[in-house]
Amino acid sequence: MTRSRPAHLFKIAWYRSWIIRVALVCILLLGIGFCLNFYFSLKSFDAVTNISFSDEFEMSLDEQLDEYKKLRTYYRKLILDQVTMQTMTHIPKTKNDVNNILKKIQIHRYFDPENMIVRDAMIRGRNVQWVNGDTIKIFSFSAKLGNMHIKEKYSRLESVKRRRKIIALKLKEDIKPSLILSHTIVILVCLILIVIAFIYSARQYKSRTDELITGLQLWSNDEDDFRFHGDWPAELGLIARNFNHMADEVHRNRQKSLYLEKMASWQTIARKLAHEIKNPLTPIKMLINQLNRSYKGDDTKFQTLLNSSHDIINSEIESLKTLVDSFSKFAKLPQPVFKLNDLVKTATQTIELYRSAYPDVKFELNNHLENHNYVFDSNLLAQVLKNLIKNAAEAQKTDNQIVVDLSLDKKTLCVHVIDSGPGIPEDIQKNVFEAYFTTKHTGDTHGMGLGLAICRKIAMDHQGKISFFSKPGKTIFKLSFPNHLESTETTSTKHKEETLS
Amino acid sequence: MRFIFPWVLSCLLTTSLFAQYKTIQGKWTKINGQQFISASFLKHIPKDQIDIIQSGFSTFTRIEANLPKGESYVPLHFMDCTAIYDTWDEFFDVVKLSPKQKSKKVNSLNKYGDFCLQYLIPLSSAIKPLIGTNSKLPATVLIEQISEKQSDNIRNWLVQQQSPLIQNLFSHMLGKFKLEKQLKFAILLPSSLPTNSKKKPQSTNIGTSK
Repeated sequence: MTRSRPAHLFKIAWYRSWIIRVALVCILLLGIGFCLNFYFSLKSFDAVTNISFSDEFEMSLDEQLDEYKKLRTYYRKLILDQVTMQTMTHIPKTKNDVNNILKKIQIHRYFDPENMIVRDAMIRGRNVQWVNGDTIKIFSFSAKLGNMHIKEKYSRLESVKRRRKIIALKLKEDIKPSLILSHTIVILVCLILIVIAFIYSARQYKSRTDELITGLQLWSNDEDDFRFHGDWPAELGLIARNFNHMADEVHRNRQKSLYLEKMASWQTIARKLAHEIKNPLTPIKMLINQLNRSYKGDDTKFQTLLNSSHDIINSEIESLKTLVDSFSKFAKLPQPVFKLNDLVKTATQTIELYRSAYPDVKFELNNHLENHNYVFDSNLLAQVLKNLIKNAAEAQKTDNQIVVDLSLDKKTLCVHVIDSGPGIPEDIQKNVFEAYFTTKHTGDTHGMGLGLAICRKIAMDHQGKISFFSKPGKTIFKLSFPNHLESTETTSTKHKEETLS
Repeated sequence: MRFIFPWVLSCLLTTSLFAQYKTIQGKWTKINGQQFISASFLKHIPKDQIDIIQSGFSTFTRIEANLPKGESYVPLHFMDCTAIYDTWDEFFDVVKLSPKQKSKKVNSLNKYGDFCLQYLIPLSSAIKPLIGTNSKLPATVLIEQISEKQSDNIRNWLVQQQSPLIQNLFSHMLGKFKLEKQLKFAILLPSSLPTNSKKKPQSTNIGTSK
């Protein structure tokens, strides 16, 4: 199926599309949410930094550092006094003496006595004095104290204080702007990605909806053969598939209606023709008989002419009568009566009718049905089989095999009539179901071309269809109709009972 | 006549360029028999910088003055100095890098200022004509605290506190963590040449020491 676009397409602008509006609102809310979240995060950041970098905090750190220094001063004084006391009684002569003096002091909270370096040193000043923070002069020696715990604590706290100071100094001009910028970039990238994804999806969706609307518009503007093709997503795909199904259904129904209208007009013509032709035939026959009987003369030539004319005219009258009968039959096709019948028996009986008429044709019945009984009109179906079998036999009277195949395909009954005749030429295949179209001029239809038209009508009455495939050597006619037709027997029986009462 | 032109030029330069610069009075100082114009910058360093110096951060200072030459300036010598204040033992460990390398330990801020923040201009033939002309020499004091290593440590610590998603971006945005300040001054040259009498070198004992 092909489609063409008209000059003007009906489109909905993207901002009027309901789903795009909803998506835009969602994105807007998302964006606002992001921004609000960011704003409040900044506020909380400010609050936390105010707490963390407040002056009170710095003052507390300074106070703690001062406390350590005071403790140091206290311990240094203590050590100085104790060393002085120790050396008052015994002046150290060797490094060992100095070691022992310091070990006796046992101020281990200040320093580790196992970790001292004692040296000879000539330093001016008092006998016992602090040279610097960790070195004490004891007479002619100096002792460097190691592992001073308070100093370690002081250094750790001071390192924290320094780091805090740097961060506090850099907070406003560097850290905060960098944080804001980093988070803003992340948020912007997220929003941009969301917007890109939205635009892409919206464009896809919009193009599909436009196609959908255009397609519906085309179809409603009498482009019956329009169908949706390709891979459609989700709900739009469902709409497209259902539309295609519906359009196919409408097309079939339209074709059926057209055909039935044609059939009806053909039948009307046939009825009128039959009536018009039939009426004069009897008087013509009577007159010609009377004429033949009336001549009593002795002109042998004239008598011979009269006799042969009488025979010819009577023969033509009989042909016309046959024609009229065919028209009448076609015009008076009965309404189908659906009731439970044996399909296999109907097929078998029909085949038997033609077996003797065509002795050189091989007939075969293939039954693939488990159940034989279905609802259909046996007379009409028999007529279809007769027409199809007769056509097949007439196509090739010798070396021909005709197979009637009965099968059930899901819920559809299929009757195939297969012959090995010469086939139907391609150039006339499209006309075979048309009324009055024929290529045969023999048999009792005598080229009326009504047989297949009648078969098609009967197939439609059975809510089915008839189709064919033909090539030289093989022609298959297929009649298919549902296996679940409703029986009209009860209705007609009731009608009979009411009439009788 | 030959002094008029430099006088006019210096006046012009003074009014147009130095309007926003802080002026420091240069004073005569005699060191080892040689006369110098000394300018002490300690009391003009902002309090927050002093606070940072005394917090124990390693500090690098560079002082540079410029001499007017024609319509432009030529740099005089510069003075580089580094110092670390040991808060535990309360002393400055100072190293002068230029003009002559020297190191010492001082125990007060004023002594640190005398050592590192006092710029000495020798009385040269280029300076002499400017004396008494109310001339000002533009000077720049650059103070850089926190060493590269320390700066990187603190920076990395800060970056690690962020979420993994944002660490790289934040690190890129953050830049260097150096504390740097550049201060511009104008050294007002003395109004007259020094007398031949021996005078005690004027030192600037300004600022508080802990």
